[in-house]
Amino acid sequence: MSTARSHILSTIRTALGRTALNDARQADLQAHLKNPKPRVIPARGQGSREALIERFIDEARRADASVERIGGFADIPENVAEYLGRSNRFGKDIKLKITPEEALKNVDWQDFGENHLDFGAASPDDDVSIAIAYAGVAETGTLAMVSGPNCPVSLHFLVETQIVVLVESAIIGPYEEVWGLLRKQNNKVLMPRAVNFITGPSRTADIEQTLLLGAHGPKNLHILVVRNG
Amino acid sequence: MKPAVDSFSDNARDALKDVKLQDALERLSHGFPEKRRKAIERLPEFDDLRDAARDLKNHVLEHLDFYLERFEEKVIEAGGTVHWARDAAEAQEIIVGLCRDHNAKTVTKSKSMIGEEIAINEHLEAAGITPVETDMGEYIIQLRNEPPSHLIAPAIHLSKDQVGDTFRDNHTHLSKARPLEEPRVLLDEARDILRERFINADVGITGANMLVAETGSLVIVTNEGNADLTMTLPKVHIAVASIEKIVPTLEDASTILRVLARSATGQDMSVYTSIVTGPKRDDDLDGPGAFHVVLLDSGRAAMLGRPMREMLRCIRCAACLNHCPVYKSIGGHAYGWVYSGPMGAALVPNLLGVHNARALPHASTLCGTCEDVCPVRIPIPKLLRLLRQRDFMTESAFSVNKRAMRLWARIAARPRLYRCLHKIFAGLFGKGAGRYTHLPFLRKWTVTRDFPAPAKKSFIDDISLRKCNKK
Repeated sequence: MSTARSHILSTIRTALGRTALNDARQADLQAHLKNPKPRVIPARGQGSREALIERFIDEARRADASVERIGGFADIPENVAEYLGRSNRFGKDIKLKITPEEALKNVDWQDFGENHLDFGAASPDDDVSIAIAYAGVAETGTLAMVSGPNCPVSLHFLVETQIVVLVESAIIGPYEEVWGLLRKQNNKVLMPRAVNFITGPSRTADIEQTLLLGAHGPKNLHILVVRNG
Repeated sequence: MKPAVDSFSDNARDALKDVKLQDALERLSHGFPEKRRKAIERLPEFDDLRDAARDLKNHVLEHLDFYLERFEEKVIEAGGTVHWARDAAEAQEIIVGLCRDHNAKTVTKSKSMIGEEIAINEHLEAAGITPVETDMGEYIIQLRNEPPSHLIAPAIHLSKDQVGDTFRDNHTHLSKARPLEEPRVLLDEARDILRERFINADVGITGANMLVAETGSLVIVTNEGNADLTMTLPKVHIAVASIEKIVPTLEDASTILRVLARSATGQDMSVYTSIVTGPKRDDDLDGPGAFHVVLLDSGRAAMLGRPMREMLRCIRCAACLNHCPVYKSIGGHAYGWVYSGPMGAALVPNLLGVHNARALPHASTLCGTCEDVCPVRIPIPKLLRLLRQRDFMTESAFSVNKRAMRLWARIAARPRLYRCLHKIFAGLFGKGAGRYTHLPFLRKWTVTRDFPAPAKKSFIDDISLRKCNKK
């Protein structure tokens, strides 16, 4: 395979009419990679804290998510029960899988009953998931989910109803701020395995351009914006 | 799929007579362009973003060798493997080899144009491995054994009745009498069947919208969530992407994302944009244990010599298809291979050789709409004109085209002879006004078009007469 590699690289250089870049030029480009600069940041991704929260909620709703503002983590079970009750699913034989995050484990889930509730990665027979967003991007109402032991990726895709907890202080303007936060946190510069940007529930328009929600991923996305995280 | 680009004219003629196809194209021409327009209205910075996207892609292409090497380093650092493939055959061999190494029996796939280009499904099947397309449109055309007819809506050419018939013929374990009229019912049936496939697949194969040199990440965009199930559940993830998909940094990827979905479906952002880097970490609860990236050249590196380099900025949004009068009249299959519309007409002759795709550069009115809507400002009409020129240069010196051009050049170089012949023709055909609906030797041309009648007098005669009158 190394022959293919060197062949491709040399074809590129021949077509560009040069040899490999000299050390100085490489150092230049490397410096840019080490210190990335944002390009054009749209005005809609900027504003005061409260304006960004409002924008996030508006944009998420435009993308067919439902959004509710609540006071604290303690309010989550009641709100989830109420949300599921609206579509007549609370108390029915549904399975709820919650991300194994301490903040959610410490919440009182008594009303749900142990049979219906578990913490961990999603399995195919789970109906509803609850996870915590790393950030909310106001620009387009996009949730940023970051994978790790406390946030398995399958929770976002295997269930029919996805519930995401977003702490107000995690709402930011443009996508670029997510990269800034991740770089600050991972001094090893290694990205988490997956960063999932999620804007609304899954959909397809592949059959006669008819827009239908719930293609392979969730049919419903419910976002709980928490004031005091 | 083997390219059948030569039969473009016949394909186009058939497409114009295909009533169902024409209905589908009518739906398309009202759908995507309108949604795109509305999305752009909400983003005043759109044109600045297009300039930024163009500039960053130009920068990447200028330094492609450097960024590919950085990307490879970072993938390895994250625990993944990069494989380099000079052509389709090498890519097929690598992918089939990886599937065999992992004893794969079934493979789920999310939509990938590179996958189509290298016909990976045929090669997996030949190796006894079952590939399952999971994008809804791609699943439908896989059942029908058809190529995609559109970059982002591969089954756009079909009606829901045709989809219903396809499901009835293929999902034989279900009752024959079940109702299949509604798109919702069709979707739910496919969702159930594919859910099983996702869970049982041994390997997941995806494409990639971008490769990020800074981090060794893949950026993969879908609306259905199928790519994420494809690359989360199986124990192996293989991504196949062409070399020009590189962007330097996550900031650069963000810039492209801002123009991609708006140009494609008219969404501000596609539902799922996933940035994945390497295999599952030790403490992760899910994700694939192995992460492979196959980088395909297949003619791209050679395109870096100007001016065809500009085509390598393409981000496959399909805006040029959705706005093209030719595409909207004949659909994607007429183009004879996996890429269609203006971007296909400009790209395919570069990948297959001009002599193997002679009809495509001519499949355009050069109206320029494709360039106007392109999020990375590719001058497609200019590239098509250059390809026409190249095609002309490769013709035999005795071809009718060349002889006619040579004759015309000889006459045009002799002004007196030219004016004399001009007078004779203007005398025969000149009317001054009106149109010809029939012309000798040009019957085929005038069947669908009128020819504007030339003036009785030539411009030079007219101007000299006016001068005389003034005096």
